[in-house]
Amino acid sequence: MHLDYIPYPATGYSSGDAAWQLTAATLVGLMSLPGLAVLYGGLVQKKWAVNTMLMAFSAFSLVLIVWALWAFNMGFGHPWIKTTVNGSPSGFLGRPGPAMGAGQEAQADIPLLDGLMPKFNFSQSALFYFQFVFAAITPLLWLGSVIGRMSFKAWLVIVPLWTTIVYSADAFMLWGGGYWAGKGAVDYSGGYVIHLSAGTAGFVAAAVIGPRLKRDREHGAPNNLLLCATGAGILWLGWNGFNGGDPYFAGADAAAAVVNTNLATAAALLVWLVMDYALSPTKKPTLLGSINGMIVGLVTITPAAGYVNGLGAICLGVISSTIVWTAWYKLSKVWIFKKVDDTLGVVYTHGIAGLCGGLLVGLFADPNMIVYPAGTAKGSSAFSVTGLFYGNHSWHQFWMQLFAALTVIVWTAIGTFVILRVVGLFMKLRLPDAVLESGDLAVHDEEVSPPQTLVAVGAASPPAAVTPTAVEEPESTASSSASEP
Amino acid sequence: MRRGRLMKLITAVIRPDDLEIARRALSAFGAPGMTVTPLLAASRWNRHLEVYRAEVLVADLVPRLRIDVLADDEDVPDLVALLARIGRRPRGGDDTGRVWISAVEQVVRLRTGERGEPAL
Repeated sequence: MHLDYIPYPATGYSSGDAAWQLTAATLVGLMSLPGLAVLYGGLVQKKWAVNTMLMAFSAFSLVLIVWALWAFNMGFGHPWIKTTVNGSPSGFLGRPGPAMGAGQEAQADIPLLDGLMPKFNFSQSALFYFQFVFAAITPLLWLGSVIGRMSFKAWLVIVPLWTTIVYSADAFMLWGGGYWAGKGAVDYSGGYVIHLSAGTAGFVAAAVIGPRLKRDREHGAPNNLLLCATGAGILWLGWNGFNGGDPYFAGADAAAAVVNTNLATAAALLVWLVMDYALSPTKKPTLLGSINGMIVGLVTITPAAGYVNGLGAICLGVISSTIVWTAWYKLSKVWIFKKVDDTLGVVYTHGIAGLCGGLLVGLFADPNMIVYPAGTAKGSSAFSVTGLFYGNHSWHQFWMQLFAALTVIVWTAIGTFVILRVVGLFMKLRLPDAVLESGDLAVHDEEVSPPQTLVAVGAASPPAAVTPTAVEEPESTASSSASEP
Repeated sequence: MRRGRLMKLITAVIRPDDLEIARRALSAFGAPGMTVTPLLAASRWNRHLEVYRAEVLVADLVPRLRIDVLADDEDVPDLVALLARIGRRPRGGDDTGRVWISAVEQVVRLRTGERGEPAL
């Protein structure tokens, strides 16, 4: 049967939809590699740049293997334990199983959404890969919370477990037709599944693993703002695929989602800039502040991109940027936010921004923004979402958004906590202080800008007495060890 | 007659990581100023290996910071004691540096033309 799709049949397949889906997926992939790798690589201290980038590349690889072997079907397959919500089949987690056979060339299908949305116009491989890049970027995002002290070995073990247990369940509940999808909660592209989840997981992981060295917390100056700008720019434009790919059709709502994404982002960036000017301690606009604002805009429009109109998008950007800016400067000074060492502040720019966007869908969603027109799904009218400010002025959508958010927060927090604690029984999650002193060199034998004075072993000259004679040499420095432990 | 008093140049070569504590110690002591220079240093103990594309390389020279402090003679023992404590690593590890003292013939403050101890 799947042979009918090579190259593709006259009906049930659209080369336009398929081409856009793969393009969008690739754009989202670029957000991780190199986008986040160089953004985070540039934001950390110089001694952690290699470690950060390798964690990003290795996690991307790990998630893909896990996704193909069992996790894709846990997020988008048949429910493991069937339940019923509002008369439709539902569940909390998909049944694990491989997604690697020739059947992947058949028409794409999310079983629980059959009849609730138009039939896909591309193959299962396209859906698989598109959903993979979302699964992959999520641990890369919360990497930002734990960088600068997390054991690389522990990271390699934790990422596959986290994708399996935490991400798959969040995705199934909102996107795979699971419980909250049945209840009517919506998440256009991952404000909850990806960003709220990443913010929560990062914060919990940072708390469980413990802080960086005290000195590193006090002197966490970034090492390369050009790379930060490069990574941030890739994120912004890559987000066109992130939000533009989620209707699964290269149609009008995809284009609207792309425009909304950019509107919210521009507004949020400018609001952060203005708040830096007006209210920050130094009263100066900053590049890294603006990048934070940009990310807040991108994140906050993500759950809403195709549900709100352009004005709504701008409102989301302005509101969320104001809230997150305030949290960044004020909330970070109090309570557990002061105590927990969230290295790059993922809980603010992703956690709080994603939560704000998801809740604001309940206010700003415009029923005239049609995701799927009437008649494209069995016996249903056009699919759109109605917020408080439209239609019957009902709070219903807001409550659904709030309850779904709480579910994601609680499930992600508990799942992350348990995974880390269990892995922590077998290996140290935090590197020893001596290793933290030197960073990349101790963990990888590489540094981000290797000195050009390095020489191959054997060609090394005997150590000359370049350091002048000591007045008083502490005996304790004499150690036979040539390198850090 | 102050002009005749002895002055010394205290020089420390330290690990970059130790700069902050050195600055705090000097500032707490009331040292008038300091000059910090990045440099490469070699010694028997601070070599390490780096590996790029399976090629093992030796770092013979490693980044260090040089701190120079001009001091009045009577402050020298205290300042040296302070700086000498900074690199203490009771359980070994990298070479953490040296401190040494040199005699200074004369010091002129460029802005005012003052000489000797007032110029410190």
